[in-house]
Amino acid sequence: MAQTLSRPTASARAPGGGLALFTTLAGAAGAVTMTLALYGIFVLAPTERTQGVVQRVFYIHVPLAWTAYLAFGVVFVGSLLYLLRRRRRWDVLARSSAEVGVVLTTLVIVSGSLWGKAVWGTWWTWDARLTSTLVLWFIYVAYLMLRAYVGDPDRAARYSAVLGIVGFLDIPIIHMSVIWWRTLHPEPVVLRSEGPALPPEMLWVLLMSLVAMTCLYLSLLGLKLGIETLREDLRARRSPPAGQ
Amino acid sequence: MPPTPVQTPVSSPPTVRRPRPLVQLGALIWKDLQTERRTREIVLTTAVFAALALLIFVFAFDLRVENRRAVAPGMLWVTVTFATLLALGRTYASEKDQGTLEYLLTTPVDRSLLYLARLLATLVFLLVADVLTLGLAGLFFDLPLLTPGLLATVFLGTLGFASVGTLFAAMAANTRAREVLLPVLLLPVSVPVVIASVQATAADLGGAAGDHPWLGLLLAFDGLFLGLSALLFEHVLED
Amino acid sequence: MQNFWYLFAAYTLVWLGLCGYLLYLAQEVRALRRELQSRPAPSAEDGPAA
Repeated sequence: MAQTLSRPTASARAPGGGLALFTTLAGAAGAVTMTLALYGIFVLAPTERTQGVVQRVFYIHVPLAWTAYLAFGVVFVGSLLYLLRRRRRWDVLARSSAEVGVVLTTLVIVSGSLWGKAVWGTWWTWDARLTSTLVLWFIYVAYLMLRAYVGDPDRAARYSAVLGIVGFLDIPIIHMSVIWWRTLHPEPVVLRSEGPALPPEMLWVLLMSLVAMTCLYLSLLGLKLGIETLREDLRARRSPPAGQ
Repeated sequence: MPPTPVQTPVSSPPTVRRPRPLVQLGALIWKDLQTERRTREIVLTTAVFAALALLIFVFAFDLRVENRRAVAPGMLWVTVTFATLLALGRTYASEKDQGTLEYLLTTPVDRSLLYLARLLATLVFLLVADVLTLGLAGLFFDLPLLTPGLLATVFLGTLGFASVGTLFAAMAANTRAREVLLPVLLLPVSVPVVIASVQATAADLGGAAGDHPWLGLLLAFDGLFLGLSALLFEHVLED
Repeated sequence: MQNFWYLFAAYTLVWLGLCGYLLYLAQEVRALRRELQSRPAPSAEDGPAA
């Protein structure tokens, strides 16, 4: 991780060795840990008493959510650093992580919806977590739309950096307001996915899945970073570079 | 030293004595409110829109006596939300305004002051329109809405929209799809404002809204995002 | 066991989603490569990182 965020190369040239190595390592680690995690999810983890097998969605739903938040944290850092330093690489980091983050958030919503359908009987429910995730999704889709609709790349970078910062700092407030809102209309049946406390076998499987998903995120990010850096390179070639 | 006129920035070396911030702020706000005609125009169109939106709600929902208190907060705030979007879009609409903005950027005015001026001017439009909406809603729904509690809620909620909205409207104004982009940018971020405002209104009307400190949440949101937007505004301006 | 299909669907969709995104990224790489080839490189460039 430290490799990507402070690459030794000073220019915005093709990332070359560092990034490629990082991506490959993350991908390999992801493959290994994901295999182990899947074994844990489907074989090792005990079946939950109330919900039956479908509760195992938990082991991919929660790590997806965790990495989505990680992705948006990276967007925040990239946005902040871009506004402070005005180096292209931070903008590349922010927009790459935003795209991966939107993909992950979409999957959180999809998996959550299926799980909810199995457990609560409806495809959609306004429970606090799903609602907050939906709002999060909208914020970062807005980020991508903003980039798409602003013509000048410099301005696009600046504007989306602003949104990246505002959006991320808003997340805790959104959570709080949605949770308060939710407690006014409690669900007819409140099924706690984790039970009073996670038994150790479940916890380990969850952690393994978390690690696997994080590696997956890092490898996707690495791929996207490579693509975007190349794109910046091409753009710099098209118009003679006016410094960073 | 030759007297430096306060209102008109001079293209002299930066060693010119800068007028005090409050004076600058006043001048900037005045510029934004400058054509009384424009102020009146924005307030009027926003108010008419709000009245029409309320009318649609009257047709859309069952407003029998028992329902009114339950439904009114939501209707009110949907109306305020969309009226705010309209008004924010309008404040950056005129081309002449863009030119003035660029001119201002050549002066050594603190960017945060520009933000504050823009925010306060927009707030004037919005608050007038929103209080009008509140009164009208009270009339249509036959509810006592012009209470200090509700006025405070409307103030804090409007401030919440306006704080981030001023920042985002400046961004959206420079894009191809400005009418669509502003709501896309503003609404998700403003979710806490909507939730808190509706619940605070409901609580004020005597409905069961739990005992969460909604106004406190609004206050926190306003404070945080006002400061944040003031800091970030310069990045939205320079070109 | 009656909820098995939801479990299956959830995991399948997640993997389809991730693989779909990978395919999309691969497409982007191809497009960039094409563009690279159509432009004479002014200096030696490393290939795309992916």
